[in-house]
Amino acid sequence: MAYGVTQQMIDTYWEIIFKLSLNKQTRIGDPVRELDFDEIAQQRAGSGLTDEEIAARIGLLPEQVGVVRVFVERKYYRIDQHRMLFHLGGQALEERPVPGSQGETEDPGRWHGIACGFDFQP
Amino acid sequence: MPKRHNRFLGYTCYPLTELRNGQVIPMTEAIDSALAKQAMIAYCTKKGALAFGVADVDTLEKIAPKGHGPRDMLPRVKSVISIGVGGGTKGAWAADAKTLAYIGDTETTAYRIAYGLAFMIEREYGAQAIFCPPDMDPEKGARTPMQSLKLHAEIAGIGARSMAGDILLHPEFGMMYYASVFTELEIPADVPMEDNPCPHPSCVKLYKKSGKTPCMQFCPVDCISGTIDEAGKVAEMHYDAHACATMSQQYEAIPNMLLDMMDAQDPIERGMAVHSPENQLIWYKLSIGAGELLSLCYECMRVCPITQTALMADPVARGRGMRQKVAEAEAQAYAELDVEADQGD
Repeated sequence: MAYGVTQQMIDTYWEIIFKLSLNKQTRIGDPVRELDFDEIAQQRAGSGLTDEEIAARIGLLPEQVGVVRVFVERKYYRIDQHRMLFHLGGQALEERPVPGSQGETEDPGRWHGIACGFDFQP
Repeated sequence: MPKRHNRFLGYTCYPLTELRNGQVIPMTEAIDSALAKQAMIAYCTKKGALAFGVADVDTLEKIAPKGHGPRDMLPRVKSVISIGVGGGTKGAWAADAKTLAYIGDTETTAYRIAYGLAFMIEREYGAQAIFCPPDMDPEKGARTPMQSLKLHAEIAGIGARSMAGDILLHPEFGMMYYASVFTELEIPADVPMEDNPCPHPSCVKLYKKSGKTPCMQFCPVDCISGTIDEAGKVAEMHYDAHACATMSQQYEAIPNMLLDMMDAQDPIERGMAVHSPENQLIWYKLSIGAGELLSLCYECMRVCPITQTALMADPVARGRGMRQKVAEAEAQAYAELDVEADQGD
């Protein structure tokens, strides 16, 4: 396999690589807008690391991290997932229950097709 | 500074160099950068941009990961300009998702304006400029951008991160598409927005009631989660970009389609891997260059009150607002004329 990556290497490292990559992102507060550089540095790992940064943490080559990451991304990417889009929006939107109202539906005309998840008249 | 006819370039522009004490000085040092910024804002606004901001390069360099700062792309960059354009019509948001996937995306408008701006800067000010490619790093695959346009826009003060996977929102314009220009001309930088419009008060109310905001509730793949604190601010935001990618980055499906074809156990399965209705559509989009292979899913923004109700998010209201501004400016001008006339009498 490319760059000496083996199945065993994938099995060992995929979870940590996936977790540290851009595929999983966490933000606490609003440090970038607030230019809180200490907090930005503190949150770097959660905000998604580059292959180089992950490699430095776990002791692989950046190229190896890239191979493992792409392998896992492909595994998680479901080709048929976008079919869900075919049944969203439009009429489907008007039939959506109001969140928090235990399945209660709203008068479709009231919302003009815009989602009904908040308490205001568009 | 007056423009001069440049006989080498063949048109009138600001001089590219100046002779000072016998030395040829690049004109970029003599340009009034505040005026240049105003001219750039006027250019972008005329071309259809809603927002314009300049990000401080040193700040970007501090935050961007190694290899992805502006200087990695243009070593002598002095200013990073971010522009934002609006989305589709109000009706587009009410359409079904299949339709919205085709018509919701206006990012190419932002790219066109930014591309033009780079040429405008070189022509008018003689400073090198590039349209920052909004694309993926060719060494890193489909999910690692060369630059974060989001970071540029946020530092330039024309968007703030939302609960919806950090999609930037603007209090006046809602959701915008962004593009960036890098230039060696130094122009005054802006600062990030003072407040974050997300979460909207109605989202906070809903969160208190149900534990979810609309974007969390309606994400078809549950890629957004988080918490809101007592002050009504985002305390934590979690975004599963890999789940979002299955809905919004259809270009990633192509290699998987090819693998499905190779792995197919019989001719029917192989045929469907190529010709199933959904897969045929990918070939259709590729061959005619229409229909997006990315940004297909807008469900979080469809239910976002900031995107849907921001004062200038609706293009028609925007037009009305501009007409109102023109009318007010005219009235003001007439009033001033009247005063001058009275004084003349």
